[in-house]
Amino acid sequence: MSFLNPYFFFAAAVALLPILIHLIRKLKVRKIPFGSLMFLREMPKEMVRKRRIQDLILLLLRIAILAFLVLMFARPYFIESNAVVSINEGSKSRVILLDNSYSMQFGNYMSMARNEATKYIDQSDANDEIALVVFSDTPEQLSELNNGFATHKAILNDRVTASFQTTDYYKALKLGHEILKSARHASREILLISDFQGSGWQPSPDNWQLPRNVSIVPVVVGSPDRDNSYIDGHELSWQRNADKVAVQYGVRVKSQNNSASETALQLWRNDLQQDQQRFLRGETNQMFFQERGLAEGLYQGFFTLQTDQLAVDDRHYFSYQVEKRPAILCLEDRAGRTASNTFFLRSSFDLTESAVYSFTGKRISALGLAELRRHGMVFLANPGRLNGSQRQALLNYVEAGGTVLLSAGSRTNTENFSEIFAPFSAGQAEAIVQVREIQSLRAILAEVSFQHPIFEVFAANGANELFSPKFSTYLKVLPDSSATVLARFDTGDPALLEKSYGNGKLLIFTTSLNTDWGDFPVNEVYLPFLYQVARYGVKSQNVQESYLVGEPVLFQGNPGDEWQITTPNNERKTLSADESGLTFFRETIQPGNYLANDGEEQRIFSVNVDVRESDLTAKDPQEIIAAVQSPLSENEKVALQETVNTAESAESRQKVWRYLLILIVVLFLAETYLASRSTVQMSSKRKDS
Amino acid sequence: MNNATNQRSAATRFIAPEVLSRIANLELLSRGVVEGFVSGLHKSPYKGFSVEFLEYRPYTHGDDPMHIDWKLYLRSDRLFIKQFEDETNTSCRILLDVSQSMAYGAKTVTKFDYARFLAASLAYFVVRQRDGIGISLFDNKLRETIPVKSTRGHLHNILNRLEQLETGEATQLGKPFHELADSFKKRGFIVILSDLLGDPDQLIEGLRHFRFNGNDVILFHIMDAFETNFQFKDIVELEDMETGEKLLLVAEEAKMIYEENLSRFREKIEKECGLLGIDYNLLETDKPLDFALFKYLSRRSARIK
Repeated sequence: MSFLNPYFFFAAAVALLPILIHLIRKLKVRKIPFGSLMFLREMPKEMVRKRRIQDLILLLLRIAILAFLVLMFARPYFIESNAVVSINEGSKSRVILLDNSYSMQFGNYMSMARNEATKYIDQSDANDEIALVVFSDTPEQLSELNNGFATHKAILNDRVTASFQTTDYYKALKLGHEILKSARHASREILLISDFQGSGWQPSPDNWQLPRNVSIVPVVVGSPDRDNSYIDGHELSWQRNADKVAVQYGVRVKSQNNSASETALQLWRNDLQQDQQRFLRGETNQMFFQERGLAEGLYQGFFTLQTDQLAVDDRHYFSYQVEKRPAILCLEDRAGRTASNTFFLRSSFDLTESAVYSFTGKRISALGLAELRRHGMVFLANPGRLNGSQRQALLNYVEAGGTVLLSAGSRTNTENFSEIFAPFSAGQAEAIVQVREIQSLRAILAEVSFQHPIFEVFAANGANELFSPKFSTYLKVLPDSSATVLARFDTGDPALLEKSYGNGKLLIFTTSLNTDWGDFPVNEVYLPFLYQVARYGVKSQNVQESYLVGEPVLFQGNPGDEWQITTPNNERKTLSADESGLTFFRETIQPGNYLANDGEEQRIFSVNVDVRESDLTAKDPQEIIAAVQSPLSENEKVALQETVNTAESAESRQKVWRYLLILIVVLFLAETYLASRSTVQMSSKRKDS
Repeated sequence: MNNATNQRSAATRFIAPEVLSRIANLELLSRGVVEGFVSGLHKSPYKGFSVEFLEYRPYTHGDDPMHIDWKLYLRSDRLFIKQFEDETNTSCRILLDVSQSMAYGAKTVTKFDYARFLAASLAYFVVRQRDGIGISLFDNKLRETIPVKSTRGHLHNILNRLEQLETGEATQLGKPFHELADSFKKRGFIVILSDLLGDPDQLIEGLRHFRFNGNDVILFHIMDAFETNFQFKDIVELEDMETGEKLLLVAEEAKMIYEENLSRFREKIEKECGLLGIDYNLLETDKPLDFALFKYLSRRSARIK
């Protein structure tokens, strides 16, 4: 229970009035000499006792009446769980939200923010309570809501540093509100100390609104117009020449409010400066570097600009791996017309040393898991019957992550063909279809999934060419529901199916990749199609791994694998894979290049800051406030007045004073009855006597 | 001169004791009271009772020549003595309670003052009647006794003593009464002036002793109006004047008990007095003294008849 007018309790002294009167009267009792008390000595004692008890009850009643009167005027009310009210009028509950996103690394903004927070802590009254929260993309409460100001200041000095993360005002305000739910005072405030960098404001996804009894006080740190240049990002492209790769780096540099001054961008790789380019700063500059002759291996480095006041975004890290040249295996049936079976296929892939893919042709009899695993992709063209171990090897290869393109042809037998892909649950071969038997013209590709990586390049240019090959025969396959049809003939039957199996894929081309069943190899789309298939199918490509600060990195391996992660600070972290072989590295809190090792495999990745934060364009704090607290209508202002003063509203809702008044009336009646009864008793006894 | 005296006496008749208390000289006071009372008697149905001429008797040796009726002697040549009623030689003994409780008086006149006035008036009256007057003072014991005499000088002594009198100690009615009863050789009137604040049984025993000796007893129970009516209000702390005992009480409630106890006490004494043939009279200190004189006179005349 609490009280709206607690000062009224000073009037509680009134309750002592009956006792005081009694004492004063006792003190003023007249002492009268009297002839003799012989007629008074026989006063019956029980009468005195009864009278005393009665008097005591009367006294208590009178004290109670006065006490309840005081209580009534103090306007008591019960504290409601959702309306915690102030014990001390004028005291505040305040949450200090301190922005420590990386934009606060600009100049001395962080120390300015700390000073602002310290200033507000110093200005607080002894009864105020404060909680300290730092926030970037996630808020973190550093201290509980209390009046331990010395602790708050110590935490502020010791633990508040700028992070490398972006800003999210919304989450911070939400946490501030949560903390204030347990506030002791009615007056609640969120002190938002920030540079109000604009990208940190994302509209509320759940339409959350800050209650109006919580006010937001924005404290702007620094100037809204700040110069900043930063590396917006980079792109890598490779060009293979046999076992070596040429890498082209495309780097975007953005500048804000900078005059067109000259600056330099450097490329550092493996701790050595590889290149430097000087350029005039524009709003956006696209810079390119190229490195040739990079052999298979892991490469890490960074681009760096001349440092400005916000240094963290002047450096951008990259990691990439140059794989060995990917290998493609083409299996052909010894008994068939070997040359024609794979002639066009072989011819399509460069067989020279400088080719992008190393292409190997082997007879189907060589089909074994060991052989398959040496290659990134396998073309199984026009196969006859495969034995069980061959089928199993194929299945294991795909399951382990390999890609197989199975194409039909003159040797295709419905049963044998079905036997090969049945274990993949890709579908069922029904019959070999002679197109002429069902339509006058030969079949063409009619329905192609251009979103698929194989066909996406044709969507922009070459779509028409894709429809020019004509097919006289194909194998009608009824696809399984889990298989994806990537292309269909104009007869409606599938031309290319894809079925994922394990970690790999099975592609089924239902017609021939030679001229047995159509003129596809002599069409201009044949080559790009095969290369698209190879690019799609071959897993081992040069890859780069880049993450943003705070983004978790997935590690896949065998169950129980232990990954040693070396951070940019040369700290070592250990990760253990779970029973599924997966684990996440979540401590990507610092931008830089990371190295991971599980004893067998090495992996590298880079972590960069989210450059959205580098756009230092400030947002008007009032916009943020307006977004979480809509302006008030007149009626709402009145309602707010009631809500803000939760103590008054709670009191007026509960109206405890009414019950007290009723109680006082009852007590008063009881007092009157008792007092009059004693008088009546006295007078009747007098009459009797 | 005589007329002036009469007028003054008339004026003092029924004078309230408060007024009488301003008269410092007890003799003057008593004369005023008695003369007023006596002159008042002429108008009352009791006139001629006491001081009227009764008879002549022949002069014998030893009689006071002062009482010879010389006029009759001239007519009859015989010596006769004029004999008045008061010549019955009645003696009156006043027993005055001088205990501490008698000093109580809620207003101007204390019970003690009242009793003194009354004693003085009675003495004056008795002497005027030619009766003998004696006075005994007592509290818890017999303090002093002035023997019975009927001379003017004796009256003067008594009045002087009364003037100088002060209250003594606590009341004890039994012992002094028995002592006095034993000392009184001659029967007569015994007028007791007391507030009777003592053991009623002892009082009754004492009275019985007086009566056993053949005395006529008039008991004047002197009380203050506050004592009879207990007119206190609110909470008072009463202090017993004799014992010093204190009692804090709510007056309104104590009144009931007090009056009940007092009433029982009086009833008991009144009843016993009735049985003993004692004239019991309650005198409140605000009552004129005439009442007591009248009581005495009527009792005396009844005795003579």
